[in-house]
Amino acid sequence: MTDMGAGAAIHVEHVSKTFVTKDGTTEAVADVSFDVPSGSFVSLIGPSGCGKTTVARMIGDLLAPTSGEITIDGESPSVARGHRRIGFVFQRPTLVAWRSVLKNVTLPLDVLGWPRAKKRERAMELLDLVGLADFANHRPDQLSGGMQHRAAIARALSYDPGVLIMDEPFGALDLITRDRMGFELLRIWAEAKKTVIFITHSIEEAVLLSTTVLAMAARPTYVQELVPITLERPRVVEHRQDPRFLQATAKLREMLEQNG
Amino acid sequence: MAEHPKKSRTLTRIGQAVLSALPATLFYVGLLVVWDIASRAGKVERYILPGPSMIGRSIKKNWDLLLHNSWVTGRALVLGFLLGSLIGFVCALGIYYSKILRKILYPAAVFLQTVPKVALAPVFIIWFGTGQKSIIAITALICLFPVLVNTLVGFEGVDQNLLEMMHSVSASSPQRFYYILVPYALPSIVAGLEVGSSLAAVGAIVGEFIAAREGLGFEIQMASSRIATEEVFAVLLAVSILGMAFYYFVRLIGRLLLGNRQTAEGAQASA
Ligand SMILES: Nc1ncnc2c1ncn2[C@@H]1O[C@H](COP(=O)(O)OP(=O)(O)OP(=O)(O)O)[C@@H](O)[C@H]1O
Ligand SMILES: [Mg+2]
Repeated sequence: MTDMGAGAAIHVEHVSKTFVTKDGTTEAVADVSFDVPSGSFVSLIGPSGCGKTTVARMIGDLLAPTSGEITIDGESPSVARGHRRIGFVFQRPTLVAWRSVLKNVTLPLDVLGWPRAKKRERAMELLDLVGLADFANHRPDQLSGGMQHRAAIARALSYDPGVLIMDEPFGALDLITRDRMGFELLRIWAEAKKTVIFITHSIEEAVLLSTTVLAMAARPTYVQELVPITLERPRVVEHRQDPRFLQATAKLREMLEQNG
Repeated sequence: MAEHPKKSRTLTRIGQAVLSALPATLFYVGLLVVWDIASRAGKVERYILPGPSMIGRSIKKNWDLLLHNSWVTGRALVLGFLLGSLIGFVCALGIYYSKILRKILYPAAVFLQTVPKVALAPVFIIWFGTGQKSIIAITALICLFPVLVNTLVGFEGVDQNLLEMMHSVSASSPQRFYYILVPYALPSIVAGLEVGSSLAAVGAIVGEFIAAREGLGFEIQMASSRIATEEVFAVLLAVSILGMAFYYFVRLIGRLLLGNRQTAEGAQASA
């Protein structure tokens, strides 16, 4: 375990999920299989309500699959979670209202029992990274929606997990901040050779950041298409005009329109 | 330089507070004066409604006794409140964490809510005998319910997303309790404690009515059997001061615990 922050290979094999509630059953995930090589950046894209969050939650051990198997470097998600190899950024920021922004970021470190000074130092470093250094002592409800999301990202990064599962982390950000955060994320990802599973509704964002984009079908979902993105690294804004970028986005748009 | 406007603003605020309290103050002072004059003129029988000056004299005469009995009652009230709150909190924990305990304790809690708890006082005297133990037990019983219910409401209202977030970082169950559940439920718990503290005096006095050899409740009984109405009023005054002081003390502690967070509205009460 010398390389704490490094990524892991994720295998998702014939995973399905059916929710049983008082009002009946919902088949959210039909049959999903895909491989995420260690150190890759994979985006999930698909119509609202198709089951992206559900797939992410199963990988993050927040939900058990109805059938199928998920492994993270050969371990079950719950073992990987126990080893703190997974950082989860929720679709909603899920900040603790009575803690300051700084203390929200240190919460996972409190759980791990880090010494006080080290926690503070790490949190300030991350708040700087997400552009919230000046808001360290604010309460979450004093932040805008996008700022709350950035705080949640800082929190997920705090213990340097190798696998980052991010559920629409930039959904509430303006386009400029969104690009900046995206490239910042790529920098962290490349430096530490992390594995990222990234959910987004923006085709452009998915193509610009990812190694591979998975297009998910409408509910009950399955992987409709796996689109490798061959743009070279490091990615830059100018890639948006690259023919390969335009081709990939056009292809994905067409696919989503078909099943939407 | 910057201090001067601040100071004068504080003064204005104090001035406004005095001004807004003026009508109530005038009314009650006036009432006391009229009451006293009526009583001195013999318009009202002394044993039915003694005047304020008579009550004042009684307080002076019985000062040591009142002080001693306030101490006795205050002690029972505080101990009963602490005991009842502790039991209420532990029961809420049990009900929250264990399905079996929920099934066992819930009917008891509902029973406790509906039965007038003072009616159980004689039973307690049979169990614990006359004296402090019974009085503390009755007070505890009265304080227990609001703390239990409000704590439980607090726990059960906890944001599931926060618990899921704690799960995602592999927090242990005690860590979830410490970092999320307790702080989340704190406004409710504080509200429950406030209600409990406002009821504690009821428990202590009722207990002393039937099971004591000392204390303010006992003194009320003694004085009223001697038809020393002015002493009854003197003791009533002591009881009110004691109860109010305790309530505001608990309230203050609650506010300090909560810092700038809001208190929960609509706390559940039942005596
Ligand atoms: N806990 C649950 N209980 C019952 N049904 C659920 C639950 N969670 C999700 N679902 C259902 O599963 C389906 C997929 O939901 P999911 O949140 O995974 O969609 P999504 O692809 O993330 O959508 P969006 O892009 O809008 O976030 C939906 O129909 C939803 O109603
Ligand atoms: Mg979702």
